[in-house]
Amino acid sequence: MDIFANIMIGLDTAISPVNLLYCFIGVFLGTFFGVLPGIGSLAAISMVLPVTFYLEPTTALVMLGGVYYGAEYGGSTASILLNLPGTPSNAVTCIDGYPMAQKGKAGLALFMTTIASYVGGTLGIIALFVLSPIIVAWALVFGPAEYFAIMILGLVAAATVTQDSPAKGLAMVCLGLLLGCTGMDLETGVPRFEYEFIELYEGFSFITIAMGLFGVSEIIFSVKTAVGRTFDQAVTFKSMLPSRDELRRSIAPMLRGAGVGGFFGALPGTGPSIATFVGYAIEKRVSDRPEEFGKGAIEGIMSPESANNAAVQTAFIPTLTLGIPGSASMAVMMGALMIHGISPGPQLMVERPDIFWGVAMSFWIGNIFLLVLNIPLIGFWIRILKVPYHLLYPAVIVLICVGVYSFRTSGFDIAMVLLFGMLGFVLRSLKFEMAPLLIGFILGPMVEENLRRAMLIFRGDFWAMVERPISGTLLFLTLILLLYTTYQIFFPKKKIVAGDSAQ
Amino acid sequence: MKRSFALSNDMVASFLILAISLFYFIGSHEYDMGSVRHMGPGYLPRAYAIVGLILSVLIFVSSIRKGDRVSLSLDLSYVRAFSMIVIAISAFALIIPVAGLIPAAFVTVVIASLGSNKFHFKTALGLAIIISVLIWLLFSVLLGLPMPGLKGL
Repeated sequence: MDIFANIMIGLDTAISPVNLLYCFIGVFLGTFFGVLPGIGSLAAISMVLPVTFYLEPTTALVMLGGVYYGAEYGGSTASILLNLPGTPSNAVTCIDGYPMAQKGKAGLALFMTTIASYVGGTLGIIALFVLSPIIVAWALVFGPAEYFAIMILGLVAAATVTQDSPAKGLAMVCLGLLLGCTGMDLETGVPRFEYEFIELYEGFSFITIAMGLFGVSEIIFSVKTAVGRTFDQAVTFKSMLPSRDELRRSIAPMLRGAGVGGFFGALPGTGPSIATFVGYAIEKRVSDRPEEFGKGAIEGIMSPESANNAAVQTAFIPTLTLGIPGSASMAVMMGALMIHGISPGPQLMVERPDIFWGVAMSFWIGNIFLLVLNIPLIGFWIRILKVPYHLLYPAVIVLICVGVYSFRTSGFDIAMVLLFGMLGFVLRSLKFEMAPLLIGFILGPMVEENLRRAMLIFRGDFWAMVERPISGTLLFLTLILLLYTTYQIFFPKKKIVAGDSAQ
Repeated sequence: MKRSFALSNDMVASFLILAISLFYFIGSHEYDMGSVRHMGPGYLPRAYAIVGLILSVLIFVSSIRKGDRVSLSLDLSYVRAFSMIVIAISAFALIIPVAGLIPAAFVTVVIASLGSNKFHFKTALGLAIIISVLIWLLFSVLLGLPMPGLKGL
């Protein structure tokens, strides 16, 4: 467990000129899409994805990672200036960020959230470095039974933990698993649910699903809702600097936020959004002046932003070490790796330490880029916010089309994007969430493979799986989660928004 | 508001899940089930479909229990954005194999722009020219992807 040796391996890969360049392009594009309201980190990753097919797998992951955390960084800008969250996980930042801007403290809020993001991100990366080898050592002895159990737990958690309607979340996981069945059966080679299309012999292309569900359907919704709001407040460098008192009040919330974020990010199914809510709620509870929250308390932006970016980094832990994506963004990352022929899992760190540690190290370099990119360029990002959405979305539509088409020069794939875009629109209209669907789709083939292998080993005896200590515990946890969820479905609580406990 | 038998979001949602699950349940009979010990290609799809059927019932029951709290939020004001974006993407798929990247991007931008109620003909035209040229420069020239700007002329 030589952390420093790992850091050196990682640094060696991460500071190669090519990786540095793509890391920079990644964080720049990420921040750009993150700043724009209505385009989340997921849509941003999906759009950049096709470009990365022409890169080395490591470089591709470095760039996509950059887009992801860049978008989460940039998302706070629109929250603070326009009261519109740039990405869903920045919604909490609106509560205190927008009042700060109205008080003329926009510069300060933007500066301090950048610092909070950097600190949260860095602490998350440290957790990634320390915890990953431990988890990998543990996971190397996993057999098919353990994998099946942990995937089922991940799927159920993704569907139920963050949902207000757990049954609908589970239904989306189910739909994802069913869509994942399309294509050749792994063992017998029989094509399933391919509807006589040769293009579907290898299953639905993961890119078309991600772009359709997250790109196209999201745009259809935001064309109408993104009303042009403008912001006119000069942000000078001097207005960004905090007073000594503001600095003092920021440090503890920032560290607490990183802790909360790191914890929730690493859990399967939770992710940044819930981390920001919990971080905010904690600050409001421990503060000796809770009445200031909602009116521009600096603690109310520091903790959620730090939590957000810590969670973004620790979300890579289960994805890279176990091959279990905890969130939709991580599912896209994993899909990208698999397209490059790399399957994430405990073997990745053992066999390709250069990829694993190189990517992890590049995250930290990317965070430094963001710090230097964001503080001098705040004025630039503000100007981007002034581009009206009705000039922007046609360009995004074309980018999606070109990206998908370039993947294998196929009009069929564009038709699929359209299909999934329409499906996504219908599902979103009915208040379904898309993330569990995508996670189910990505994990589906692996769930099937591991279950079938496990049943062969245990001669069809499901109890043998329950009797093994690790898989048994994981299945037991899943059962508890399911029972709790069923209870919630039949005895729903009055609607409580996670962060508004004190209202 | 209305107490009676109004269609709620969740009720429609449960019908949708029911339909999809039934579709897969029936479809799975085409493939060999196998046994628990030796699962065939049809085993898991059918299992998932059954779970889906159970969930659709759960969603339906809870939608009735929720009663009048949520009504169907079918919003007709999205029709314009929805249809224009669908047409724009279809146009791209149809034009690019025949005429190349620049015309495809141009037409797509113009049609997609029609989806917003802030549509202005000259602005959309200008935008389409700029974007189609930029896209061509970026993808065909700079990245060297096999997509000619103009084809068949």
